[in-house]
Amino acid sequence: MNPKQNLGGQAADIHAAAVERGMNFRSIDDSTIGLNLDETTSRADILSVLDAFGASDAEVRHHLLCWTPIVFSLSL
Amino acid sequence: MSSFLRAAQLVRASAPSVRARLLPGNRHALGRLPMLTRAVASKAWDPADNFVDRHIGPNAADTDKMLQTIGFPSLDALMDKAVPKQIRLKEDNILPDAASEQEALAEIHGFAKENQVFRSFIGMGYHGTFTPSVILRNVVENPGWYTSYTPYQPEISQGRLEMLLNYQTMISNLTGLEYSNASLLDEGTAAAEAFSMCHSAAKRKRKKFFVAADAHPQTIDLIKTRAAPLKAEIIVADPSTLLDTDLSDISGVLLQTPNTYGGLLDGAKFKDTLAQYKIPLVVATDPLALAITKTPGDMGADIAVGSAQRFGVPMFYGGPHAGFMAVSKKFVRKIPGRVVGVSRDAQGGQALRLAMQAREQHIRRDKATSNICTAQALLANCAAAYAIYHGPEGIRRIATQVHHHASITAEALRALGHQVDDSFFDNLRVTINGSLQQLYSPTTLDCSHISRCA
Repeated sequence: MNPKQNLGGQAADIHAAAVERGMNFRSIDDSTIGLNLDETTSRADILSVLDAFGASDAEVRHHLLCWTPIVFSLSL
Repeated sequence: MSSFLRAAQLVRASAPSVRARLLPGNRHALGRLPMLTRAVASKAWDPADNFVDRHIGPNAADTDKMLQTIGFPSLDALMDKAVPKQIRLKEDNILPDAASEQEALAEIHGFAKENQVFRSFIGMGYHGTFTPSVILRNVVENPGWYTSYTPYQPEISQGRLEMLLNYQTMISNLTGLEYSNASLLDEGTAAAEAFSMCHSAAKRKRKKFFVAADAHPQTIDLIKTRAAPLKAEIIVADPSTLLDTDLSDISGVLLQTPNTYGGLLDGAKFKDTLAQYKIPLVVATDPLALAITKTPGDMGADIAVGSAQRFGVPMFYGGPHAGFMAVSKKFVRKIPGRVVGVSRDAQGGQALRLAMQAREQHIRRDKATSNICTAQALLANCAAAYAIYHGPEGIRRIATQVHHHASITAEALRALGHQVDDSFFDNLRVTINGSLQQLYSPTTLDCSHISRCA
């Protein structure tokens, strides 16, 4: 599947792209997806996630991950 | 192919001179080997070792002697007499041939290989975690820890009690509530127990219990199951509607933070109103998030529940994992399960003992706070070991990093045009932007949106 098709579709396409990459996302409804990260989540995992969401260009993904993490603040 | 099989094939295919060399039974430098006769050959592929012979029970000689004593020629004859004909199977044997240990393992590995193990981003109370090798080897895989079942003389095992005390201390520190028990079956069960504590504290005069609609679905289901026989009504609603709800008939309130979609909630904003109606607040939560967010104790909660799974306990395809419960002083006598406490022995030395075990084995059934309060001692101990291994700073570091990873992912998804809820610890709710026609491209990459979060 061409990941570029994902953005035109709804959650189902993204779930399919995730499964293709050996990942399971949480299905909330037709247009909402749950994504839980944990201690074991690696940089490669996040790239795979973004890939499934349609960020197919390696350079772009590289940029995404080079962003300085936002200042750590929780909404509480 | 095993060398034995290869030899057997050779025997079939080779000239007589080769056969003579390979066939057992010929004179051998180390002595005479057993002859392969036709009768023996028919059993040559049966396992040389099998489970049946390893059973600790009567052997063939014992069986014969017992049969002789009661006057039956064979076990079959005894069965014919003892088991009514109409309930016996007519077929000789519907089971496959017995397998050896190695064959059985190979078969099981075969089934296991059919699992497709995917990377799980599902969450809902189950998280990937690294079990430090030293804990895996010395606790999880060590029979000294994993074979202990309910100890009926728990004080004999001081080491085990000490580890459970560590677990309780950890849960108490993380939740900001004074008292923790030594674990429960799982998170849903802990939440259902919390409901039952509120229900009985209200002396059954208040029949309703409020559960946040964004609690884990399995938690809501379990509370409903527990409520049905008590004829309690479970109100499942958005937490923001809590203050608009008629609170006069509510025995307790359960909120979850981070909720099942990842959003954080400060239960403290309900504190005064709930206190006014004398309604206990139950907070279902995530121990890793608690390392860097406001604790249930800070929110004025009376009971905190959750799962200690992500503290080094593998997901195990869904369980078992230690559910935790911590309570304020008000509920200390009502906490279900076991509580380990520090005491003195006859010589005045420090000794650990079960300070409370309010279940039916120990007290009258109707006085028990709960009769369904299985502990998960091994998994609780594993979680305690994980916390000791990392220490408070290490746990905070892990929590911070997990949050940062989530933040990076959220920013990237937003840049791709999707919506991501603002409030989260490590779980993102992503609303897909289906109308987005144009793919994200490097030219649209600008950092202006970052300032929004900075």
